[in-house]
Amino acid sequence: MTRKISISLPDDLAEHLDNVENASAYIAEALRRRRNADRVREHFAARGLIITDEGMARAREKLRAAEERQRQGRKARAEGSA
Amino acid sequence: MSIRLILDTSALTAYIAGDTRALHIGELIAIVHEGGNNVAAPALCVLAAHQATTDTEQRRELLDFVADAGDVLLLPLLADDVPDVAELSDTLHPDQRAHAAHAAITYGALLATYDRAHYTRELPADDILDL
Repeated sequence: MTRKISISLPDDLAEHLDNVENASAYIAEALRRRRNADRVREHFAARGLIITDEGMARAREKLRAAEERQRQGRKARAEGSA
Repeated sequence: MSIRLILDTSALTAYIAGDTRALHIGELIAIVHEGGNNVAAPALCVLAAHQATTDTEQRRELLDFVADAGDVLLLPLLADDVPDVAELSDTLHPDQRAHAAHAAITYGALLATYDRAHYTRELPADDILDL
């Protein structure tokens, strides 16, 4: 099921969507990601564990660095076995 | 959606402890979800973490964590997985570590753990995320 709604966006985001093939799917995916992350925050908050924006920023950097190391490691192993 | 992070027993045990370690795990899970991906816990790790506490509330929180509406996907040990997990368990004891390593390999995911040293014989160092 889908529902047609009207929303207002800042000009820069509206212009970005002008270049997206399926704007509805694009927005739905972005909302789904945000909702899922918000649910995690809510579940942890219910246990008295408050996930802050600062904590999220630290975790984002930690994960980004780990994924980069993983990519580089895989690349090096692939080149080593070639 | 792909699985980007595997939580082993040490991570799950930290989660149910409900302290700052749990908070850091929550931050990582939220970031993975924000990126449109998933975090998963192998069934044997969940069982081991469950056995590690006798606190009824902590046990319930753990099972809620990996329930259908929870924050983490529960990975079953399928019949097809058993030969590979069994082979990994030759070097990874107890068996839940073999299941965790197998999941990381299968999904190409990072293994989030407090016990890096236990996995380094079977996983590349850069596939392990130190919590």
